[in-house]
Amino acid sequence: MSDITSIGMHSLLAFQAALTVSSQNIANVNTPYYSRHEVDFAQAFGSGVEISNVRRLYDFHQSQNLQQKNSAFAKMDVYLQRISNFESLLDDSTNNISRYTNDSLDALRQLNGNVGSIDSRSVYLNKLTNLTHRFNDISNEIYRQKDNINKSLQSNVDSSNEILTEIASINHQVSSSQGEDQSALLDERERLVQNLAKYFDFTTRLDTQGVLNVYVGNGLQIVNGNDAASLTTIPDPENSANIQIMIKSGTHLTPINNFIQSGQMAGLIQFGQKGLDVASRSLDRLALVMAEVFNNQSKLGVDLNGDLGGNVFNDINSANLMARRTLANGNNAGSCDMTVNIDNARQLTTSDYRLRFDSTTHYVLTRINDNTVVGSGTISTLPQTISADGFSLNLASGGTFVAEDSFIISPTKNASSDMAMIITDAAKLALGLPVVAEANQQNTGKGISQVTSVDDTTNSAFSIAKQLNPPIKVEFLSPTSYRLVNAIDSSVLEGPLAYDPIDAAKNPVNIFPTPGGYNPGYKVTLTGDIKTGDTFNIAYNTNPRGDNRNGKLLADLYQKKLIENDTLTFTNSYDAVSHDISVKTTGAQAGYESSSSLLKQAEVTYNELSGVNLEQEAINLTRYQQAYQASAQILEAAKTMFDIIVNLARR
Amino acid sequence: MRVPTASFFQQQLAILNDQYLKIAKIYNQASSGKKIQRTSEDTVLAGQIKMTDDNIHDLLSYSSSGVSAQNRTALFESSIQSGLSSVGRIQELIMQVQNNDTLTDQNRVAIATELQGHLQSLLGAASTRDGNGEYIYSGFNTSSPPFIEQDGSYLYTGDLSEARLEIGLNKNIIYSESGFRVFGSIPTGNGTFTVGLEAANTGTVSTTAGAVVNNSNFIQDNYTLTFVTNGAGKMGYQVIGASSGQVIPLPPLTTPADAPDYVAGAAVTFSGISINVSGVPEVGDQLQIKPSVGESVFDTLSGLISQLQTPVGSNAVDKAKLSQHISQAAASFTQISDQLIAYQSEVGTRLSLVDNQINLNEKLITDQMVIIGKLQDADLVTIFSALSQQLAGLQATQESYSKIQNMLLQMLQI
Repeated sequence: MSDITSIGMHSLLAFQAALTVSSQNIANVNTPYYSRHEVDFAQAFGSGVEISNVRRLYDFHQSQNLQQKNSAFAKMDVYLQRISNFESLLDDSTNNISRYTNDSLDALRQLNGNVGSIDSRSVYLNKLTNLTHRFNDISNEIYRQKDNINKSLQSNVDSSNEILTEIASINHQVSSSQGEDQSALLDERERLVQNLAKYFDFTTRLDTQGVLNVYVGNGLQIVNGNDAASLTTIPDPENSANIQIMIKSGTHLTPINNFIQSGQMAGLIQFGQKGLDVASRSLDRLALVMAEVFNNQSKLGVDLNGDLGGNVFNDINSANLMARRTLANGNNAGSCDMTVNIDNARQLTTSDYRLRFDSTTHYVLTRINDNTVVGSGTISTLPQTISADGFSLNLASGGTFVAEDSFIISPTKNASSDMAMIITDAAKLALGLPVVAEANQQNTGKGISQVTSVDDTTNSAFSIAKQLNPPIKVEFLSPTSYRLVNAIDSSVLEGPLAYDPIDAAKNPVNIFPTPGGYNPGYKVTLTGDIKTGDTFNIAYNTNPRGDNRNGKLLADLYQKKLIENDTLTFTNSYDAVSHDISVKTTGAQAGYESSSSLLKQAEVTYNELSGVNLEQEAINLTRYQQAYQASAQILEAAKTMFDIIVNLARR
Repeated sequence: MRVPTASFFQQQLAILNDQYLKIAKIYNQASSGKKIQRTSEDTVLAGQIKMTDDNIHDLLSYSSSGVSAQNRTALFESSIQSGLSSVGRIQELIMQVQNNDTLTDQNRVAIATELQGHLQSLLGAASTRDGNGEYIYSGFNTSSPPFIEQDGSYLYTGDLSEARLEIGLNKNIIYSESGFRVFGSIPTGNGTFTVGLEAANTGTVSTTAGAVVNNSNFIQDNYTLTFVTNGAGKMGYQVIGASSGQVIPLPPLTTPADAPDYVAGAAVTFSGISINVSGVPEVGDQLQIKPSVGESVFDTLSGLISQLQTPVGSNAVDKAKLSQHISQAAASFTQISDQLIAYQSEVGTRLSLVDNQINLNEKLITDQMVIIGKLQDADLVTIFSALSQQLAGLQATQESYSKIQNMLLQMLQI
């Protein structure tokens, strides 16, 4: 009898406990990382049923899998978002550098039909200014985004540190509450781990006490039982625009950028390196090439006032710019002032370079992109110049080097942010050429002279303003011979030289025979039948109002392949950058989708075991409720039986 | 497989979200009319569109310079047209003077006055300016008029260069012309040589403009024809070249003994040259036969005008000299007319070149437009069928969601 009561009692309590478990499960249906519990009933010998175990349904391996997928997804999520925003910036069809370049070419072509018009000149100048501003805007936006990456990394680091501390604290509680119900602690730690995984990737190990240790890279421990190391950031010694993430344990700092392959931090770092850095170096190089070739061509021309042309854009080799292209590693023991001169922008690559000393006198210059040594040697005296890939590095006197000193050389650095128009007066656009070669009006022959090129206006022939030094008269001594005469003092410069009219009909004759002949920095050709006594005057172009020869040469620059080993035009170069970012965005989209579906799978697998299913719980609830009611009936029956017995006894 | 309730809701949410995204993409296509909104949606297609777009852009920028070139060339054409009509009238006036022996000094002055007007209109043609006030016949020096009068003669102050405009890849068209080439240097006389009377002549001979009748015998030189009394005691003539020496009579014959008899109106022929000489010469009268030199239209015309303005009265010697000037002027204007007609046809060729290039560009642009349309324009039929498909899918998802939802609720109500 007491058995029945006891059985009823036990089962009532057991089902009450089971109902509690189910209720707890139902209540936490939407709690992330809540692991549901299941009760195991066991036959209690002689006293009905008992709950042998309340199981927390949790699989550490599924947790680790989910953690990895969380990291991978967080990386692709942030990477896709950033790079596709960046794509919008570059791939804007109405507002990109290619479009502005083409607009300026249109304006120049129109201007070439009307070089005397200040209005047309101003239109071209405005188009060039727009182009320059677009370079500035994009580079400002890139700087802004870089800064934003650094800030985001910093806030990732801060949040990670908080989580790491909490994990360590939970570890402490776990180890000090052995034998008690730790479910809530474990669920909370699971939530923390999965959240931490969104910031960066790590591995975890559970020890026999249930303490969770956390490792970065290949075994660098950041949570060791109750202790958590913290993350911190320092400016990258090789690039002050970047920050480096370090593990700080005590006073010891270990860089871990290379270990971070996943999580938001990896996504941010990858966007910085593969998106912003690659694009900005290409744009910087484009700005340098444009400035160099436009400035050079402009200097070969004459402006509306008849003065020799000057720079269109700011000088790419100003002292200020040259000095800002190098960065000494913060750990260097020696020091040396260095400047970088762009010798030929067309030969520049989009890489940075590392100058490293392996002794106090021996250096190695390495192109970082492909890790190729482009120069090495011994420096016995300073100053010294090291040249490679279109630039030269000037080491100032008075410097000292210590083995392992290193310097980062960034030839293209800041070019698009510093790009600026120098010409503001439209009349100063040099659209004509400074030299005219004309047949004398009294000539009886049919000879035609033409200036075929102006190559060097620093030649002494251009040393006097608005005048050739000297102006030259080509005098024909016979139909087949001529001499070059100084038009001012009639002294003979060179000659007699031979002229073959038949040959000249095919290939106009260069009047300054090369090599070795008189070289005034320009070339003039003659063709046609020329009579004895005919002369040709080569003089400074003092009235260039209708001369568009240099304007056409400027227009030619837009069509020429001048960049990347002469394989890309200006617009090609920009389009390649923009296209590269678009292709990376497409890749990021695919990566996002696959990492997202992998994450979903991992969540499903994880939750298949640990998640709460309401139907299941509802059925359990009904089941336990019925059993509970039945158990109550057992007690009722026992009571009835007892009453019967008592009544019997009373009788 | 257990599906936890929270996961079920999350999955439903993800599916709905995905469908909304697809529908949003179709809406974007429909509203912009473009298959892709950004390069990353289809990098290959975007690359093709970009390339075609660049082609179109390039062609368009050429067509704007094509239009400038067209306008410029039309300006050359109309100016040369007006020049030629003046030249035609000048030639008529010269013929009138040549063929009318009864003209008085006053008649000639009246003609000179009309010629003066034509001189101005020719100058006007050469000084044509474009809409921006730039002279089109001054070479590079477009700010100054090509010809200015200085001490009675016309000086070319422009530039001898030609500025060209690119209207297609490596297709250049002259847009600023050297006026010297067009108006400034036209060979005088018959284009090869001139025939002038010595000022001291006392006879009444005059000549035609003459011609080179035998190119292979022709030797360019300064020749002097002198009337002499020959061995037969008749009026004869000799011709001596400055460098070729005596050509009539040809050595070993000597002059004046062997000088041929002068026959009025007959041809005098030497060194490939033939000139008809008429009138009554005096012994010692001379003709100068010289190589043509380049002279500007304006100088030729103003020379003629001043001749016509000089009174000759009834003096037969002066009349002969005037007639000689007129016949030389007539010959010169034939050269001028030939030169301007040749230039006119050159301009015509240029104009048709520009037109062809513009047409070619337009055709290429149209072709490329068709191509880019096919590449980038979204097909509305496809869009709407895709849209209704997606909407149907969305509806099905929503319905199944609410049905499952109901089932769950029903189950919980048990």
